[in-house]
Amino acid sequence: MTQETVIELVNVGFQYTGSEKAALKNISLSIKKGEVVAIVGHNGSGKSTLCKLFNALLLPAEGIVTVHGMDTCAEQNTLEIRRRVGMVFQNPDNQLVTTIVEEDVGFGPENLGVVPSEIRSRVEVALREVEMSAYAEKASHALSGGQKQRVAIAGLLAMQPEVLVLDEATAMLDPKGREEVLSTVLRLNRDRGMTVVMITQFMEEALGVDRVFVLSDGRLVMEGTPQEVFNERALLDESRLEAPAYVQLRDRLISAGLPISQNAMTCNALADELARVLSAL
Amino acid sequence: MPILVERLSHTYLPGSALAYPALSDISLAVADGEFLGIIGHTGSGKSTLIQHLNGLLLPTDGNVLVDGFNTREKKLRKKIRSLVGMVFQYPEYQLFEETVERDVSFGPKNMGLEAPEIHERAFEALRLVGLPPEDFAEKSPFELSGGEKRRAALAGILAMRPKYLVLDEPMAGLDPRGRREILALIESLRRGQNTGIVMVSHSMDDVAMYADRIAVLDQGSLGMLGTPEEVFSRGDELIRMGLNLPQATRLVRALRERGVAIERDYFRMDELSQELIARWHHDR
Repeated sequence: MTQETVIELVNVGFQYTGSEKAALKNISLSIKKGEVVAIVGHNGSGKSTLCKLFNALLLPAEGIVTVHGMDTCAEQNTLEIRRRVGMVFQNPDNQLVTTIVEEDVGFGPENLGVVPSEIRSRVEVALREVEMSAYAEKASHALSGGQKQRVAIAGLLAMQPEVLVLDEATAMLDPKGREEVLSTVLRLNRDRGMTVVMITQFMEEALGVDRVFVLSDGRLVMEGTPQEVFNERALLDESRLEAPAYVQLRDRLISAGLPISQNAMTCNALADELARVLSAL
Repeated sequence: MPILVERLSHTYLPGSALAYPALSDISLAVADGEFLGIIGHTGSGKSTLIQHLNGLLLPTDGNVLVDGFNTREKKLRKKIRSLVGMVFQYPEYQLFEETVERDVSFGPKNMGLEAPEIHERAFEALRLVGLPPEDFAEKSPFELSGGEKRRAALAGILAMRPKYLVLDEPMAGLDPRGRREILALIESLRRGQNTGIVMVSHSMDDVAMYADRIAVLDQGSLGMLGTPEEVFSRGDELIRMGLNLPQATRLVRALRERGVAIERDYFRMDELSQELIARWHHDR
């Protein structure tokens, strides 16, 4: 099966005006339709810069960024690219623009010139998809952080995007809010084939994705399944990252001689393995 | 002398139609050199509580005494704020000066100290947070990396030589290495200077690792107060309060569900790992 490429970067470099250092150096990658990918990297590694290139918020200084074959540098593509690639940012309080939840969700399609009856139905569907229908007429400022982020996602859904990019969208949330946002985007991926790009500082969040990209000092230093990436402990350490806690525990147990699988990366998988090993004796 | 919180209640907008009781009847103490973790669901009153510890908010009922000084007394407030350093979320957003040294000097300058003393304290604080002043004092705060900015902001508080340090989510938004560096720094302040630490965190693992005691807030009340072992052995109640458990505790529970009897409620991964390894060797 050949999968359609949604976002493609070829030899991309970027430098902020006035900065001595390049923020991104020679990055090539492609993201396929229906994939969930995570981008991880230390503070200042270039993660946010990278994802701002995905929807023409920033334009590459070198190389080419295309969305469905459309060059982000060509101005006539900008609006269409931004509609297709929706971004959710870190701070839940900076992204809602109106006072009532459903108005906020309708803001995007209204700007796109969608007719009012269609806006109404899109807003309804979008709120249902993030499980916020009950809050349609509520004041947006009174929502929890996780709820605000889900409304922000609904606002994007109402524009019918193909890719959701979450730029550390869970960083300011409590564990429950993080879980709400994560399960929402994973469900959208499962049920609707939504392509999802998650930038995150929480390595555990990268465990359930298809592919992980590791950035360090503006370079793409690794790309692979969570399994492959989190087994490269030396490279992770060089990149100022570390494997999720359960992966670290698994490796400690394996090196102490416990016959458990290298594939166990989560709490449940590790418990299954340990139950097998410890009770079989 | 400790920070004493005595029967503290706080209502926002009291007497109005929008009156909102945020805290009710909280009593606790933070001893010299103690590390108190505060956990609780969003909206449980954590931020309201810590803002009482240096008099930013005053109790609607009850009292807060810092080394015997009541936060209600206006003329003591400056004294209290020099005793209790407060580090809010994302403190690096509050950096504003042209150089790191000037930023770090802002607090001591406001305390009315003389220039040489201010300079000495700024350099000392920069060394404490691992930003050698020779390299960093003259830099613009905006040239620093995310983790360095956070440490510079922390230095600005430490330069006031507070006896207690209150931190609201000090690791939020940092990469894994940055998180560990900040935690190690906090722990070294406690060990080296006997600074009392109050840390609000969503990370049960960090709290489990470092706190001597944990206060659990639930809908504005003190739901639990105890050692990590005492608190995390009440997992079901914590989950009902909308909290999660340290990763080690979660694994213990998952193992029990699978019929593997683990007696202790482990909350630190390294201790659990030793237990599992010992167990395996023993069974063999």
